[in-house]
Order: sequence, then C-alpha cells, then structure tokens
Amino acid sequence: MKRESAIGIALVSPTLILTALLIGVPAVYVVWLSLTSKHLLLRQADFVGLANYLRVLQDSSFWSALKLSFVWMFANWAIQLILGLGIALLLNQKFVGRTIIRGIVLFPYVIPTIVAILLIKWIFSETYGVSNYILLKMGMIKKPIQWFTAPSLAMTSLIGIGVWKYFPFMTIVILARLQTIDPELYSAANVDGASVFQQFRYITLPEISGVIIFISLLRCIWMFNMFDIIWLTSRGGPIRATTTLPVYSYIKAFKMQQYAVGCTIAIIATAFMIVGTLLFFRIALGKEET
Amino acid sequence: MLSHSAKKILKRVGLYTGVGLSTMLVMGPLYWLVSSAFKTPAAIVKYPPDLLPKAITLENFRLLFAQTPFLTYFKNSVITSVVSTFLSVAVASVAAYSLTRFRYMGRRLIPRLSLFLYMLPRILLIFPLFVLLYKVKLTNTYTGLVMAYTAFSLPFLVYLLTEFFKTIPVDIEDAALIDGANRCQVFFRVTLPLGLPGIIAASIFAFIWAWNDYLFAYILMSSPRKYTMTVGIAHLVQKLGINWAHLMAAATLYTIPSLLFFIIIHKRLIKGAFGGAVKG
Repeated sequence: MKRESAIGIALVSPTLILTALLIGVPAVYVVWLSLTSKHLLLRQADFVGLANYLRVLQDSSFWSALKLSFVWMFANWAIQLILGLGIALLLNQKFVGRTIIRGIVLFPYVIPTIVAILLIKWIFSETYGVSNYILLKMGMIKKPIQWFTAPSLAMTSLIGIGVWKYFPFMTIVILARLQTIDPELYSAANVDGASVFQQFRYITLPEISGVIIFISLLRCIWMFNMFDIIWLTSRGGPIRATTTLPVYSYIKAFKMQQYAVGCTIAIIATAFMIVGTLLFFRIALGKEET
Repeated sequence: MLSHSAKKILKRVGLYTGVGLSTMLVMGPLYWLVSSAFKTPAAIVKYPPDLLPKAITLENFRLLFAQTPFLTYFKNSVITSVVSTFLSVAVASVAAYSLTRFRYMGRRLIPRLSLFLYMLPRILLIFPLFVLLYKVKLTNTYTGLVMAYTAFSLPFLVYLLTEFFKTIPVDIEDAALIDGANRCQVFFRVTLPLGLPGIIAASIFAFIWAWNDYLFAYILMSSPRKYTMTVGIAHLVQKLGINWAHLMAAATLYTIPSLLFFIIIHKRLIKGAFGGAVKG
C-alpha cells in the first residue's frame, strides 16, 4: 500500500512542482507586495501592512471598476450562454453540411485575440468600417455609429466582442452533452403529445444542467479576469468607461507605477472570486444533492 | 392549428434560417479578413468599401514575406506551441491518472487548489514570473516560454483530465494488474487508448492557448528573432502603422491553418472534451 502511495505522489509531483514554482511563487510574491509600498521602478519596498487595502477600498475608481467587472462578467456569461445554447440546439438537428458548419462555428474561438480585435475594430471602424456602411445602405441608421469611441456604447461593443469570441466554447460543450441524450426520450414525449417547448423544459434542460453549471463557473472566472480584449481594444477608455478590475490594476501597477497598489487590487479581485466560487458551489451543487 | 406537414416545413425553414444566421455571424468577419488580404492597398482603405474585391492581388503576401520576418515568427509559434502542448498534456495526464487511481494524503485537495490557482489574474502574476525567470536566465528562451505555458495550463488540464479519467472503468486495469502487468504498461496500453478522446481534447485546448497567447510571449521574449506570431502581428501594427493590407495577409496566414485543422478535428473535440463532465 505504501509503495502505491509513493508512486501516486511521484506521478503528481511534476504538476505540483511546476505550478508551485511558476504560479505559486509569483502569487506569494504578489501577496507580499500588496503589503508594501513598492513602486514599479524603485527597488525599495517598505512594509505598510494593510494600508494599501484601506486605500483601495476607499477609492471610488475601485468601486466603479468592480461594478464594471460585474457588468462585463454577467453580460458575457448570460449572452454567451443563450447564444451558445441556441446554436448548439440548432447544430444538434440534422441538416445538410452539418459537420462542416460545426467546425466553422469554432472559428471565433480559434483565432488569436489580437487578430480578432484588429478584425473587429476594422469592421466596426466608424470612418471606414464595412458595418456602418452596410447599416447605412440598408437604411437602418442615419449616421455612422461610434461603436468604440462613444462612452455609452463602448462597453456594449466590447461585450459584443467577448460574446463573439467565446460563445463557441459554450456551444461545443453543450452540443457534446446534447448528443449523449437518448433519442428515445424525445420519441416517447412525441407520442405523448408534448410540444417542443415542453420537451425542452422537461427533457433537454435537466440533462444539460450539469454541464451548464460546470462551464458557467469557468466562464465567469475567465471573464472576470479578462484583460486582453478590453486593453487591446479600448485601453479601458473612453474616459474609464470600460475599466474593469484587471484593467484598473494594470493601470495602477504599470501606468501609474504604483505596483504595490496594483497587486492589492488583484488580490481583492481574487478574494471576490474565491468567495463567489464558494457560494456558487454551495448553491449550485447543494441543490443537486437534495 | 397548422397541419402536420405544414408544421414540419415551418420547422425546416426555421432551422435553416437559424443555421444560416449563425454561419453568417461567424463567417462574415472571416470572409472580410480573407477578402481584405487579397485586396490592393488602395481598395482596402476605400470608402464605401467593395464587398467583393474588384481585383485580386497576392502583393500583400509577397510584401509580408519580403519585408517582415513572418516565417521566423511562424516558426517560433510552432515550436513553442507544439512542445508546450506535448509537455503539459503529458504532465497533466500522468497527474490525472495519479489522482484517480491512487490514494494518498492531500489527494482531494489538489483539484480544488488547481481551481483556485486558475482564478489568479495573469497580468499581475506575469511581472514576478518575469523576474523569477530572469534570475535563472530563462527569459528570451524557448525553454522559459514553454515552461510558462505548461505551468499555466496545468490547472485546467489536470481538472479536465481528472474528470475524464474518472469515467474510465478501473476493472480492465485491475484485470491487467492481476495478470501481472505493471503500472507503466497498464497506463500506456489500457488507460491511454481508452482515454484518447479526452487526451486529444486536452491537447487541443493546450495548443490553442499557446498558439494564441500574446501576454506571455510579449513579456518573456525580448528579441525580435524569438517573437511568436501574435507578438509579431502586434509589432507590425506598431512598426508599420496600421497597414491593413499586411495585417490582413498575416492574420489570414496565421488563422487559416488553425481553422482547417479544427474543422478536421472538431469531431474528436466534441466527443472527447467533456466525457467526464458530460456524465456528471
């Protein structure tokens, strides 16, 4: 028995070592830094205890960023889920060219973020983007829409990018699950005269709820932490309209050079996520067990 | 109420409309990307834009190869992505095997810990990571970048493969063990073949992350000879200004291989990816 345990531990140790060294050590360092006054370029770092935390929690920009982060995370999750689910349901039906289209639908997820952003910025450019051109021509709008430069619209446009880029992830997973549902269930329901909606609600939904919970958690964490899309598209602007927490901590750390404060913000953000996840596990999984 | 066959036709129409719209949603930008790559520079900045290119040119691609180290960037991306994918899947599958087939202290803690590690925001971790790698002289090396990719994809991959391996029945392995095979043989001859869909799915995720990554490649690689494609593209934007012609050509070349690859492989991805979570 002991030898078995030893083998087991040996097998898992490369993982433990790699993650401890390359993720764990930087993480501990970030926690340490949040308790100091480290400036980005200077060497000295005086211990200041929780002073940074107090300062951040009293900073109104922090709370705005937090609010934006929640809006960003929630909107992305909800729309990605609805769109992804809808398309998965479509792709689960039989039609000509189904196999190819299932592959094509992956496209936004597969291209590098920077390519996607350049492409979308290009298409939605207000000066010579093709989207405004088409909309104008179709008579749907009277003048070009400022997708990314109008503060009120910027966040919405960004959410659009996030949704476009990541909905295929939802589609793939839900589709995989849909394909393992026994078709007999649907035939029986048809015989009993159940409508399409009833079938969805009483057969499909319970079957896919497991995977939906699984990917919802991952998606929310991923979206809450997302930096690339927002930074590369709008740099947190215009006028801080799209500055979520990760962007704010980056600005503090690298632009305002208050590296320690940036770390503090990141730690607080992580704390929020941990609490959120624990709550999530309690609510979502608690329900399944009863 | 509509007749039965009318309902059927309506359903079909609805289905094809839905599929058509979804395809356009995804293909629209793709079409724009590829068609722009073949347009003349004048045509690209023209407004109103041509929806169908009036003249096709390969000039953008030629200039791309002539004026920029495109092939170098591509080579770097391939090397780092392939090696890190292989490494991370190997390490993760061995770990997942350990977590689902052996008993030892702390075993249950590890997946939870992985999830929490996954939650840490990368942009702030990158700077200490850079300092750490700098001290061991691994910055601006393939090794350093590959190790970073491997380490950061492990939490997710271990979680994924653990869920997946849980669904592989232990009976066959036990039978083999009783017959005198050792653990190594069991792993390679029984577990891996059965777990192949999950392994393939894990490989695909690992590869996408490495291939598409910008942050790590940008921070950890300082000399242009070592840039990966993503950094190269961003660099082109900065150096040449927004030369859409070049950009679209580069982006097309970088994207099309992955897209083709995925159209071919996606079936495996769907089947294998979430075998574990699917049952659960």
